[in-house]
Amino acid sequence: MSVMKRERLFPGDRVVAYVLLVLVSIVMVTPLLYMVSLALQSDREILSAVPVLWPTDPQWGNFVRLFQTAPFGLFFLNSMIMAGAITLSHLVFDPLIGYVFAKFEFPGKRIAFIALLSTLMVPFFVRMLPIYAMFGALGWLNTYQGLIVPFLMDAYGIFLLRQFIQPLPDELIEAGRIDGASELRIYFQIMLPQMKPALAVVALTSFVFQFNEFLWPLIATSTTEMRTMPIGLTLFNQEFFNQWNLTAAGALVLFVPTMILFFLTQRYLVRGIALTGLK
Amino acid sequence: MSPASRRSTGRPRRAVVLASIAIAATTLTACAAPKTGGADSGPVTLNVMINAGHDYKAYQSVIAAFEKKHHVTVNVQKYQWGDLQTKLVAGFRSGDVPDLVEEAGPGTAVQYGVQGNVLPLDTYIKRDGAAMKYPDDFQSTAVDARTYKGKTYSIPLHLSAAGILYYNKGLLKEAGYDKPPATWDQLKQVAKDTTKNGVYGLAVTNDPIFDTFLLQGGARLTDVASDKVLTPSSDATKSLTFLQDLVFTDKVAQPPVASSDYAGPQKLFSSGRAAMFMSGPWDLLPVREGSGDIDWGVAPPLKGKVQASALTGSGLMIPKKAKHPGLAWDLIKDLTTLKVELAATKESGITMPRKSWAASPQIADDPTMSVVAKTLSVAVAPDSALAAAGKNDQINDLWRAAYQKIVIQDAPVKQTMDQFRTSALGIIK
Amino acid sequence: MLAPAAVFFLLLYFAPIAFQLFQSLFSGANSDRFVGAENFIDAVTDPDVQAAFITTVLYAVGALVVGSVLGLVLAVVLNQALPGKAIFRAILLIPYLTSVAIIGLLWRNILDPYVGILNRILESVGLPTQSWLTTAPLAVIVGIAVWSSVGYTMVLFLAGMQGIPAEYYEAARIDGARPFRQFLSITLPLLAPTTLFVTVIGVINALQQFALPYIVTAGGPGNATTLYAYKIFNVAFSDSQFGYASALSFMLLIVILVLSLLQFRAARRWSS
Repeated sequence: MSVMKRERLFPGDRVVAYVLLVLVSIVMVTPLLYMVSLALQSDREILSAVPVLWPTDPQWGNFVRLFQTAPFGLFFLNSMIMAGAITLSHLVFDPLIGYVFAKFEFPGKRIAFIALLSTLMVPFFVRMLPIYAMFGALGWLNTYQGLIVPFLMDAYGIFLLRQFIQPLPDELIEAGRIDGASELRIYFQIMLPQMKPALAVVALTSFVFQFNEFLWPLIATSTTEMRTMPIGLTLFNQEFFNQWNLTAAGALVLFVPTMILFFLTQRYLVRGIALTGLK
Repeated sequence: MSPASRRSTGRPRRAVVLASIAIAATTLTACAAPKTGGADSGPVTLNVMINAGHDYKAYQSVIAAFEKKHHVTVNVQKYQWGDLQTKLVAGFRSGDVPDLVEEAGPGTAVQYGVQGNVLPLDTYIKRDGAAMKYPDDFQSTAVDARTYKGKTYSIPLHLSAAGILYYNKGLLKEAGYDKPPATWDQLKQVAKDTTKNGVYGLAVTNDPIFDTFLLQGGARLTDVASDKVLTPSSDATKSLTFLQDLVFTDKVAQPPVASSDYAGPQKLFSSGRAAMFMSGPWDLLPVREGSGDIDWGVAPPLKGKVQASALTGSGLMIPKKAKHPGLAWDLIKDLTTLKVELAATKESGITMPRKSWAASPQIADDPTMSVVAKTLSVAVAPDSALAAAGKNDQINDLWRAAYQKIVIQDAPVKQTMDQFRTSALGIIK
Repeated sequence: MLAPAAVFFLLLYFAPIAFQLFQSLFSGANSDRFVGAENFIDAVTDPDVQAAFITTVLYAVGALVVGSVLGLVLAVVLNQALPGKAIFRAILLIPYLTSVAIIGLLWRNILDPYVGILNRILESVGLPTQSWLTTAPLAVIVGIAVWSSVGYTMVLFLAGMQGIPAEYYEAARIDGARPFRQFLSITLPLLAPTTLFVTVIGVINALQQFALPYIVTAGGPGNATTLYAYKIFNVAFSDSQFGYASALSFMLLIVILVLSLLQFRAARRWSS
């Protein structure tokens, strides 16, 4: 475990650390607590021009209303399918490609890597329109594959994993080769387990990003059945008249899967590298 | 860090990757449940895009009846204006357009029509105009704003205007006023006398689309036909200076907050923190619901040099590549009848373009509504030639920035106006 | 082995981007009028574009510096054996899990000088009210961006720290090195790949920030928060000038590419 042992930086440093953490945590959490408050407010309180700090009579029923006004269960499912499939795809492809870039040489590697990175340097809405036209021709609009395919692989995850894999000791790979293992086995049995913290980060990043993605699902879907949650939430803003309580309730519901995923991946973020393989 | 070892790509790895792709692809195609509406063979689906706030029950029943009569499915998708525009523009580029779209206001349809993205409706109007009483029964400002060089690009759905003066009777009375102001001078006086104890006399908008001072000063934003911007110049300067003074010199109006949300002035008014604000009929409902026990009233637009309000209100247009334009037109006819207009107004307070609507007892006999009708009658439409040149949004974005510089950041009026003029003329030419 | 990946990227990244860039040679709402390099010349001489670029650079510097430093500090603190650190880690990451649209709307509501909850609270305890959305809008955008991403930056640094073998610290302690020295000579250098990642991605993301100005301030007041990518979006979807938007995107690509290459070169030089 590479957690630093308890050594004093300066007297009272633990207290300072705690104060810092508490302050930062308060700043992080308070706006979201306000969102909870908004979710529980009644329509009257939301419309009132004087903002309400905490509702006098928490309207838990807002969560039920959320699912009644529109098929939010369906929107939620669509979001889960889209984000889940993309995340799985990233977890399959990104480490493989990252590994190759990190530990292998081949002609044109630098150019390929720069080309890869450059895909991140253009805002999505720039490459969106040709893809939109392409998918229209393929009949993929308003379908799951239409939502998922543009994001099957992503330079972000590849880059992250490459940075993470690079400093891993080459001795691990050499040892595997000396033992006569195939490259595939080395990848699956030796390298992949080492990547767990980075894989956890990629899983979390990809899922959160895709789950909250708005622009592509807006463009690529045209029926209520295929809507995803973030777009579904915009239904609550009447022209000059925002039903903030329902939007906030929806935002909180959106929160749940990402929180669950976070707790699941927490363990891997903590676990250190198993160096026992070298001994 | 030790150097990576030399290794060429191995076959086993390739196999694994290809296998993964095969699995993924199979899974994906298995998941594929194409839900595209509007297939050519099979039942017909009419795709409609409207603003999320306009899904009134009155329209819903029209659509349900329409579905039965024509044996079609109508797929109504609701969006916020910004998202609707993004999706529509993307659709124009790729050919994936709905059959019927609500446009955000005068000029929009003309802009898209001149570009060739929206159908001119004249053949339909020739056939059905008499039965619809179009254009005769529709307020001419609403009609004219949607036509250009003899072509009509959309039919007005709602007619609205910014310029209604909402006022807090209690606060005015306290300051000694029994009647709301009717001219700019009166406005300034009333505002001065009601600004106290943390209350502003006037709440000002952050978006010049709703600004009436320019128009009431007798000026226009653009006059493309004569290559002029912010003209006549002296009138425009007077209007903007008057407004800026209210905020920064007389300090009777609050600097608005820049955002995509227009509800600021209404919220200030409803919380009792502003004695007056200017807006349109869309704020009647929020004010009614959100003002507690404030005794409030509405008054017709102010007179600066002239009495004027800013024309707004949406319409319905048909994209050029729509799959079922004829059906879309039929739906337009059904949605714009007098009966439906009155029903929608009853339900939501939204105001309508038909003259017979304004003359009907439901409207004419209602004191609030008659103020609204007056406001609509002095509405000034934006410059059609600007929309036709396709520069509407560009100029409006520039103008919003300039307006905010003047009203929020206290920038010098003449200088900002000149900068705006130069940029705008550069774009128009 | 990279072949399938290459195919994918070619079809779904390079081809669309190349097509869009090709569009930069045209003008008009339907991109049907060939204008050659005119869009590029306009882009460079347009004062609004220049202003947007400068605003974006200011934003990027602010967000990157504050975000990275704070993220690193928090990671160091949370890498200790502190009781309750798992809870803090979770709390710090919560803003990152929320969609940017919601965050933007939430903060805009909170910070509204007239009807926002923050001022209501400040008033009720007798403190002076704020109008940051009017007086310091870009700082507000930077603040929201840092607020929503610092937990994530912290996680990246934490993941990177997990990769540093404990033996190194043991050896250093046996040699008598104090914690701060250990940080400087072990942690920082071995975090270099992670740090490079954070800064490269940080620059890439910051220069493309678009959602926050779109949602919170609509680019205002005036042009104060009109960031470059927001400008591109408006040029494309509001003005329907796709050729011009493509030219602007291409120039952004070049800038980001150059900055990224510089960062990689600096990292190589540092590590040797």
